[in-house]
Formats: sequence, structure tokens, C-alpha cells
Amino acid sequence: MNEGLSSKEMLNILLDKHYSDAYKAKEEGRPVGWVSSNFPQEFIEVFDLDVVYPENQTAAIAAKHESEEMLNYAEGLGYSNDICAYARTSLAYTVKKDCESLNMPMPDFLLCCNNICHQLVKWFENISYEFQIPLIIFDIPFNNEYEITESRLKYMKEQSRYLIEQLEEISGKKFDEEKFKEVMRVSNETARNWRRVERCTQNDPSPVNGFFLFNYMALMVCSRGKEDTARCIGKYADELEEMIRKGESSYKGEQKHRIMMEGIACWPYLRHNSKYLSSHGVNMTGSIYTQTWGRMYDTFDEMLLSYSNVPDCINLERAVDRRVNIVRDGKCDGILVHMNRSCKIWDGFLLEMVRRISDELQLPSAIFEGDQADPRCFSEAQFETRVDGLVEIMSERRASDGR
Amino acid sequence: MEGKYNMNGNLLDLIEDLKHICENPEEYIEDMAKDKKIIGCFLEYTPIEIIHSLGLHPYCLWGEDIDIVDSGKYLPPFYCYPLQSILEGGIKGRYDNLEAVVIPALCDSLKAIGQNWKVAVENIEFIPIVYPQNRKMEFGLRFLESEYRDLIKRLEKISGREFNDADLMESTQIYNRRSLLMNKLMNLCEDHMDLITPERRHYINKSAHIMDISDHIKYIEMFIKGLEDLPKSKSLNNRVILTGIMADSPALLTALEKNGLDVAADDLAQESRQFRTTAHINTEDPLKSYCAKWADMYGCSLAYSDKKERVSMLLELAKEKNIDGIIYVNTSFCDPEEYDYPILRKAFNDNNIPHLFLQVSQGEEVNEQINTRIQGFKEILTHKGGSHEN
Repeated sequence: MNEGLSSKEMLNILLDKHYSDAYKAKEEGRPVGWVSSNFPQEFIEVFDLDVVYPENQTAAIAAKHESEEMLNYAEGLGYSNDICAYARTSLAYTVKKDCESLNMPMPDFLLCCNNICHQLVKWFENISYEFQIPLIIFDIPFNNEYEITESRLKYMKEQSRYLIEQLEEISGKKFDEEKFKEVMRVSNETARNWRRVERCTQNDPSPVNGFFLFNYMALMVCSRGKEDTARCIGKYADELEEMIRKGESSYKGEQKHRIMMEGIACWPYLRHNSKYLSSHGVNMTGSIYTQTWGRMYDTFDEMLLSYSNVPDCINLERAVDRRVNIVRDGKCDGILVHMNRSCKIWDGFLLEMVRRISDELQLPSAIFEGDQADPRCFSEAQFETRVDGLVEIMSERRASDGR
Repeated sequence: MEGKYNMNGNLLDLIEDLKHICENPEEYIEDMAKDKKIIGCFLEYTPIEIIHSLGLHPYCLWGEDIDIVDSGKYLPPFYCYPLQSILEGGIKGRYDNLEAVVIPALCDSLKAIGQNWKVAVENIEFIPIVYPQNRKMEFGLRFLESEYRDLIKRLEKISGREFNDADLMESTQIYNRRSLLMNKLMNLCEDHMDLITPERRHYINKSAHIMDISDHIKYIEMFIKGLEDLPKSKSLNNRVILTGIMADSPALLTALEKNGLDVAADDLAQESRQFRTTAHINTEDPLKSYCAKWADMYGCSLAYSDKKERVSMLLELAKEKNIDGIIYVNTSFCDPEEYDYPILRKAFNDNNIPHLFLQVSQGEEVNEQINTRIQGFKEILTHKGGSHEN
């Protein structure tokens, strides 16, 4: 790829290529997989399998305001509006097979990791049944203890052996250990660059509106084991570091307040959320949603453990500690919480978690109701009122601190 | 328990006993707690045989008829209703005679509820179990065994007794026997729908989760003997299958009876699904072989299967029982069931089986909407096929 390109240009090229490669594979009779977002992609990359990610697709459909139509279609099929809107959108797509926002080829096989939720298992189970295609579940049990138990690591390792056998069959290739080590190296490099990006956003002032990271997140989901991705994210980190050196920022206006944003993005209203926050001089400098992708490891075991140590797979205490660190690193003045109608696992102990974080850090928090992909579950008025309240408290504190 | 309830009475008296227990479980459990330590077992599946083998009484919690107030501090309003109600009950002290609760991570709501329980109900120990999704693989069952061993260590401290293979084998035999008897009884009930109404059928099933198993078995045996002694009755009602998590709604059950619908069979997690699978354990490694019960389960939205045997199972059951329709009983905010529904709906449509989707709330005594919908469903069934002459 041309080194003269900006990271944004590289991002667009790589995302386009991700989907065009999948279509090409389909045309050439090679199997295409659908994969859940936090599946250990290292196993996929080593076999050069072409895969796409329904969560990426449905987030894009939501961001481009096409999700309501898809959701209505899914509900017409009998899917309750109680279940995850990503799932409803995706299941509608499997029947419609077409949309305006972002198409992707139908799957020949499915790879599902339930580290982020159990609804993924049911979602993929349905696709497997309807399409009569193989589904491989990489089962990562919920961590009720703070540390991941030996029994969980053992289970993941045994599943890895099985997974490799299945992927050998699907790809028609033998597992290459040296190549796997290389994929791990590249994945680490990508993660290292992502962490550089995050550290830049934590700078005071931040060189960027934190919401812009969501653009690059799609690439982190689908291609972090590829050299081009490592380069793209590295380029982004270079750009941000350069802006910091020059004292520049792409954030419009004065950055008066810094927040940690808790939860998945409210994709149908991303622009609205970002604009309204910016209008108050609020910048997102911390987010566990983006932090998740900076997974680094030295060994195979650590790689597996990193997939277990994800936001929806850890217990209350660990979940609190991670956020406390994010807030401290991001030098946040407040916490804005998305009570996401679609994500029950995330909402499951959200309230107690936020109370503990606020208490520990003595920071104000505000909760708004929304949805990652269902626009009907969000109220602009409510969001704005909650943000207004949060800003009021942060402003008072700022004034009393003499800032 | 003998002497307290009318064990020698006629069938209606027996049903009244079970109804009383179902409607007043805390009374039964309080009495039992004088002699035995009680372990609360969250829906839907927990290793009750293991719990029983340690001399503890597994009291299965399926939800409460209770106003949600204090649990709102921990859970959003769209959370699984049974779990909201159990947390509420815990906060309000309804389970203060429990030594611990065992919570199985069968869905997202169950995964997270324990994290709230340990904060909100500190006086009752939270013991988690995570059931593997790769349940048909040896490595999945090895993981399950490790979860069971962790559970056993914690339960041993409570019971003051060491786990042993012989006790597990004995307990498993008892629970297996109860399952076989329940299946036999439910089949018998089909010939006595005048006596075993939908509500009474429900009490027989629900009481299994509350009562000491030996007592419950005595009741089942008396029911079986009693029904076998009675001449078969011919019901002209339409026959339905109930499928879902639970039909624990007086409003639903009375509406079924009032509108001439017999429950010929069920595929409810609270009812027949509990007795569908028995544990086949061997003497070489009883605990390891017990784990295979999870692998053997089928047809439940909570037990992962890309084959979705629930579809073919319900179609076969419908044919076998000569049913007129299927009622999909949805428990508020149960997403695993909500994923299964569209696939089942399509199968019912493709096979010309009339079906009805009903959202029900636990403990609801009156619900005119349910009554109206059941009435309408009855009209469809009557129009389609008339009534039955057995």
C-alpha cells in the first residue's frame, strides 16, 4: 500500500478490500465464514480464510440509518424486539440478502465465540440451522472469579486443538505453526499501535474527538492479524503523535470536559451524540469499548486469556477495576453511561458497576437509555438532558478547582 | 412430612396438598429447614442430584409473584422477569433460610445476576456454575466436571459432609426414578383430563421443585395408582401442547380450562423438560458420567444445538399426541426462547399446525387479554378440526 496515504485513506481501502476479498472468495468457490467480533482471529488468519463480521455489518447499517427497516423485517419474521438489534438486523439480512448500506456474502461456515455474550450463540445457531452450514463454537466461560481459572484455560486450549482440526478441514490447509507465530506477532504489533492511539487520545488536550476511534475500530475487529492493518493503525498513531507534538487537535472547539463513555456506541445516533457532546466541550478520552482491541500477549496461553478478559466476560470487581484505570489514564472528569437495550449482559450489572466507579473516583455519572442499533430505543431529549446534567456538575467542579 | 399432608386422601385432596405447597412454598421450606439445609437453585437447570447427595435439599427458584422495587437498583426493567423477582425476594428476606444459591450461567441474564446477588443479598452465599456450550465434546464435559468439583467443595463446607460416589449414585437413581414416574404420570393424565385440568397438571410439575423428592415421589405414585384405578374419561376438548420456559400463570391455566383446551403434553422448562433426560452414571467414575446428562439434554432453548431438535421433537410430539394446536408461552424478556420462536413458528406453519404466541406474567390471577386470545385460538381450532372424540 502506498506509504503516502493518510490513515483514513488506508482505512477505507482496507475495509473495502475486506469485503471485496470475501466476494471474490465466494465467486471463486472458496468458503466464506461469518465470525463473531471477539473470536480469536489468529486461528482464522493462519489459514488465510475469508471471513466477514456480522456485528461490523450491522453497526454500519445502523450508523447509516437503515436498521429500522431491517428490524421491522426481522420482527415480521417473528423475532422479538427484546433481542439484540445486531442479531435482528443480521437475521433479517440472511433472508433479504441485500441492503443499501453494506452487503456481504452469505456464509458457508460460522465461527462463534461467546466471550462477549450468549445471544451470539443463539443468533449463530439460527443461521447454522437455516443455512445448514457448520457452526464452530469457541466457548469461553464467564469468569465469576477475578482471575481466570486453570480449568477455563485448559478448556480453551483443548478447544483450540479441535478448532484447528475443523479449520484445516474447511480451508483444505494444514496448520502452520511458524505462520501462527507470525500472525501473533502482527496482531501484537497492531494492538501495540492501537494502544499508542489510545494514549494519544488520553493526552491533555486530546488531539482528536474520541468518537473518531470508532471509525478505526471496524478494522480492528476484522483484520488485526494483517500487516496492512498494523501499518494503518500505526500510521494513525503517527498522525496523532505528530498533532500532539505540534499542539494541534482535530477536536472542534475548546475541550472543557473529559469523559469515559461506558457501553457500546449508539450507532444510529452517533453523529448526534458526538455533536451534542462537542457543543458542550465534552470529549471522550476513555472507553472500554475501544480499549478492548488493544490485546497484547507474549505466549499462546496469554493469547487465550486475553480473549477471556473481555468486558462482558469478567466479574463485577474486575469490570470496575478496568474502568477505574481507564478513567485515570484518560484523566476523565465524568462518566457517561449508555444503558443499551440490546445488550443485557452489559446492562446486567451496569448499575452497581457505575455506582462503584463513581464512588471510588468521586466522579459524577449520567445514564442515558439507547440502543446500539435500534433507533426506536433512543430519545434525543433524554440524552441531551442527561448530558446537560452531567456537564453542569463537571462545570461546577471545574470552577471550584479553578480550571 | 407424613402426617402433615393428607397422603391417604383421594386424588382431589392430593391435588389440594400440592396446590397449597405451590402457592405457599416458603411455608414448606421453613418447615423443611428445621431438619435439612436448603440450597436455592436458580432456574432452569442445576445439578440437583449432586446437591441431594450431600444431604442438602435443592429448592428450585423459578420466580416470585412480587412487586419489583428494590431490585430496580441493580437491574434494568427489561431484564428477565423471573430473575428480577428472585433478586427482589432475596433482598426482601424471602430466602433467608437458604444456606446458598446455585446460579447456572445458561444465558446472559443468568451470567450477570450472580454479580448482583453477591452485593444485594450478602447473607446468602452465591455459588456459580457455568455450563459449557460445547457440551457434546469430551473437553466440554471435562470443563463441566471441574465446575461440579468446585461446587462440591463449597457444598461440602455447608453440609459438613464429604461427597462420595455412592451417595451420588443413590441420589441419581432417585431422581431418575422420579423422572420416569413423572413421564408415566403425564401420559396417564391424558386419559383423565376431566380430573387433571391444566392448573392441576401444573401443580404436580411445579411442586417437584419445592418438595423433598421422596415425598414428591410418594404423591406421584399415589396419583399413578389412583388414575390407573379410574376408568378413562373421554374429553371432547381440543388438545394443545404448551411450549416455553414456564406456564406459571393462573390466568393462563384457568383460561385454558374455561375455553375447553386440554394440555395433552408440554415442552416447558419448568415441567417436562426437567424429566426428559435421565443421568446414566457408571460405577467407574460416577461424577464424570453424571456430566453426560448435560450432553444428553435436547430440545431446550438453553442447551445449544445447531440441529435445533426442538423443531422435529415438537412436530413428532404433536403427531403422537394428536394435538390440535401449540401454544408458545413466552416468559417476559427470555431471549433464548425468543430466538427459537421464529424457527418454530415457520415449522408450525409449514406443517399446518395452529399455534398461538402468548406473553405471560408469573402469578397473574386475571388477565382478560389472555382469556380473549385463548378464546380466539379455541375458535380457530374448532373451526379447523372440531372437537375430539377419544
